[in-house]
Amino acid sequence: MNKKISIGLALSYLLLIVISITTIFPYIWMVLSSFKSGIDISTHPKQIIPKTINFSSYVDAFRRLNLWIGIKNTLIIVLFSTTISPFVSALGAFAFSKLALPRKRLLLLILLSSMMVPYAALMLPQFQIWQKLNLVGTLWPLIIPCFFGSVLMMFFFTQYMNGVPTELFEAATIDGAGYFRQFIEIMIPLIKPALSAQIVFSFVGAWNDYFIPSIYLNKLEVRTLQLQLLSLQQQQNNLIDMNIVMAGSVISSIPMLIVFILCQKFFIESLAITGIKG
Amino acid sequence: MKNRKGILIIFLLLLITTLSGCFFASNNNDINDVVDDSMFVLDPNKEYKIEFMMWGADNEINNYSALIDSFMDLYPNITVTITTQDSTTYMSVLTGRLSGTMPDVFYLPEYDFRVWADSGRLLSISNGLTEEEKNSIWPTALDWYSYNRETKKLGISEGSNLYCLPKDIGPWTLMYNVDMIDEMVKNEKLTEDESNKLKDSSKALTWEEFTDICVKIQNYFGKEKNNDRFFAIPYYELSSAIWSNNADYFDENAMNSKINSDEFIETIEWLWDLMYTYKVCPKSTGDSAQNMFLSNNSVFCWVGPYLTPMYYQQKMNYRLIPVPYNGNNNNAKSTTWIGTLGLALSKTSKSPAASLALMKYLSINQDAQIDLTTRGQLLPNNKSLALDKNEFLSSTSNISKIWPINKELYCDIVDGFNGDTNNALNISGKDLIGGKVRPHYYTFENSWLNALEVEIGQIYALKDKTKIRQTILDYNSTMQSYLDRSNQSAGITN
Amino acid sequence: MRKSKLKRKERLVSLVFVSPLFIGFIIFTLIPLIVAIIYGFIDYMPLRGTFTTPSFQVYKRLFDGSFVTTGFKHAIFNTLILMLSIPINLLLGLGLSALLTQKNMKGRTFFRTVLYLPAVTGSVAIILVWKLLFNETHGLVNILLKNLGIIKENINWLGITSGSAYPRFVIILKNIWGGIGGVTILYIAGILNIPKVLYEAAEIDGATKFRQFISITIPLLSPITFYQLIVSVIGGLQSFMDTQLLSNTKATQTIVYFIYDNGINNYQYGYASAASVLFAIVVMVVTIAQFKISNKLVYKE
Repeated sequence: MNKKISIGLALSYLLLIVISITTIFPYIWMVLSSFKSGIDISTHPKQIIPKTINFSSYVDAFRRLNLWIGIKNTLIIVLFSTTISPFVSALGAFAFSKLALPRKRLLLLILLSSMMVPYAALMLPQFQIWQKLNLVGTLWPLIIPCFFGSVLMMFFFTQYMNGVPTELFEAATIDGAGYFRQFIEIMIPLIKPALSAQIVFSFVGAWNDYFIPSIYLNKLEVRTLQLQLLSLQQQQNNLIDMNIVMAGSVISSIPMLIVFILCQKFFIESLAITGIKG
Repeated sequence: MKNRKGILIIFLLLLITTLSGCFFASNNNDINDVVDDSMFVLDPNKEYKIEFMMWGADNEINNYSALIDSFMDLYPNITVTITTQDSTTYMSVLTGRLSGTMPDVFYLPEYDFRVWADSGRLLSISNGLTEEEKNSIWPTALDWYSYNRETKKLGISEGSNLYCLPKDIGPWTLMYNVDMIDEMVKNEKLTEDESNKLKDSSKALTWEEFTDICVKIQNYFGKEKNNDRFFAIPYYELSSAIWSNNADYFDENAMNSKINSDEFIETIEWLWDLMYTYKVCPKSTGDSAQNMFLSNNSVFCWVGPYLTPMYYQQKMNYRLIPVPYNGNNNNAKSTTWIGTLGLALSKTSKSPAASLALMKYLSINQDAQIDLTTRGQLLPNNKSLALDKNEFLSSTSNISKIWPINKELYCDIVDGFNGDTNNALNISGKDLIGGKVRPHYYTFENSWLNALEVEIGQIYALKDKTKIRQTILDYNSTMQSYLDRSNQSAGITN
Repeated sequence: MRKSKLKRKERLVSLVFVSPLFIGFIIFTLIPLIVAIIYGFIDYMPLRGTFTTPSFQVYKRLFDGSFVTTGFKHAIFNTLILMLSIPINLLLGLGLSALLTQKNMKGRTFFRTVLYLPAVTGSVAIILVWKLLFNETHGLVNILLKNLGIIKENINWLGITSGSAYPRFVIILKNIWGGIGGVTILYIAGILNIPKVLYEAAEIDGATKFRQFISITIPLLSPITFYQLIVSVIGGLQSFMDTQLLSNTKATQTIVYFIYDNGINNYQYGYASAASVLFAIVVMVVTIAQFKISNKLVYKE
């Protein structure tokens, strides 16, 4: 009996290790390529291990890809999407969950339906709105929507808040506390786990976002990190600078990998919860 | 409560409709976009504020900022704000601004000239230029940026107007690596005679001569030196090949497709041969053509004036050569493509006088042109400056230091065909060297070019040469539909 | 009296609290959607500032046969083909989760972490590496294949000169590589949630491990399967970055890329908006269908 289990288990381990290597391989290649010199990538692509470990590509990446500008812009957007957006969304969720919102079901349905509309259909008119306001080429088209919250986040918070006993708030109302005060002093501390999870997700989402920034951030000074990685790709296939691009890719990926490894639980737990609840 | 709700709903609907109304860019579509020449006279006592929109890499933006600072010194009552945009989204941002405020002066690439002029978004500058100023520009450039909105024809004609001044003019031609050719001559892989043919940039090679040299190059650097990454030429410009066989994509005014002509098909077959029969050109490559040339993995490469500083910095020893033409075709002559960028004046500009002053400064002011040319930014827009044997065309003057020795070829191409490049293919004379504006200049919509390039790309992947003819003939009707759609968008029916 | 006043105040406050979300909805979703619908009907072209009388003409043009090389029909076809990674992911994820939930399986957290890495990495960096790996002349894949003698000539993985199948293959492969982590995690959580008594009962009844898997595990995982299916389908329909950054060919242009290209690059707002409205309808139908179907087919306790 023992032997049979061992073989099956051993094979499983083997398979998983092979799959893990396949998953990690592109990352390894990214790092290896970043250490090669540009000419090598262009003329000696057969080399797997670089001849010399070359940190200059990392230094060059900051200069030629303007990574500092990219990081600065990304952080600005991240700031707004991890603070204001969750706050506004949670406020709205509070109203849905704990307050006597008139026509609750109708309003919820309306907001839900907004999630069903794909961005592609809204892309052009939204572009025009920002054109009219002369804000294309600035960070504002990405910051201003944060002030209006996110329906998806609000939904998540509503579910969570429904689990918080209503009596707490009824008692507070009787005591004369204003609703906003109740929100800040009672609700927020009680939904800390959900808040933290959403903040982490917003952080990762904003850091990695490409599509919307690519439409609006078309000037060097406002490009986010992800867009800066592509600034050397203007012409086809520029392989001589590939080591710099790879170095930039590594730099842009590391913060997210760190966040993920530290906050694994958030990702995996909430992924699991949303999945099971369907 | 219900009343309040009703009012709220009505208010929302009103809000929605007015906001939706904001989305449309109004257009004063009248034909008349000519203004009195008095509109272009500057009032020295008036303060002007204008906006200039451009794109470019860092060094270009720096060059132009410095230039505009000098302009503002010259005209203290004009203030210019510069807006820069990424080149890839430049046109869509510019188009978007139509529903808001337009910049006064802006870059207008030649491939969008026709539709912008036809749409009535540009102000005519014909009345703002003196004869002397008009004569200082390359006559071909004046021709390119003239348009007649009534007949919807490009070029100078009865009733046409000038809409743009050239920001720059860039002929795109071939160059070769002198060191590598010299090496071949030294090792007797190439005769002195052949090397001299390359050196003489006043005469173009025939396709046969060119292919012959390429094969020899490929044998030496590719086969003998065992470099499987080497190709004599990294790719071949489609337009330059087609026009050098007296073929074209469409007829004048871009009404009817001409890709089904024998000459067109013959050209594609020759290009296919370069890849498969002679193997001197790769089918596609993972690296850029410039990188191949810079790392000595190619002897030929394509080049234009704006690349001058880069190759100078890389210390490449190169010479320009005219594009080869089909020697077997009596009407064929060396014709390559010329790219150009125009400076346009918005119809809604509140300061046409100041705007035109800026355009003239950037385009034809002698000092500005000397400065930009010395930096290798562009070929001079002033014909006299470009053809000055003591300055630009000399090999020792300051202005020409950074340029390749036989830069005169650039001038020949721009001025070629007696200054009638729109009509390039109808002029005969095998020894003529010249150019034609890029093909998408001639149409209102550019989607035909992308589609055609995709189709040609697939033809290049064919292993069987005999299929080329039929594939092109089959594609002809699709090409015609694209042209029809482009013309219909301007209200022209075939 | 007091109570109704209090209630009124509460209603007012709650409306204020949700107002940002609603105003955002109106400005960024409702109005743009209405405008997009209008553009589609009047064939709005911003450059000329022209519009036609409202008609279905633009919609007809989307399906017009003469523009076969870069048409809407092709975009639809491509998008659907590229979604082949979804069923493959579901199957592989199911299998992997089964492996990882075996008894005595150690290191489950480690494997889960590794598999989910691509999901938290920026797509740009991922695409850049894949582009390098599959580069026709300098990429590791072609070099290895040549060294192993499997191919003689370089395959053009990201263009179409070697054939349409290759770029599609690369994109599907990349999506499998990137998506498998999420699926596996979901399934693991689901499997762990299944009460052990069911398995014990089946064991007693003499069912093999395999039979148990088919009859117990898979049906009980059906809510997850459906959730994952719908989320992936909606995500897959909106695929854009692969086309723009990895492989931009006639064989790989997706619907969203079509809208983007025609709208933002060619400023044919009417044409692009019409396509986007049709697209929005499809996505909404799929989403609504999910709610209805999941109530019927999903195994309920």
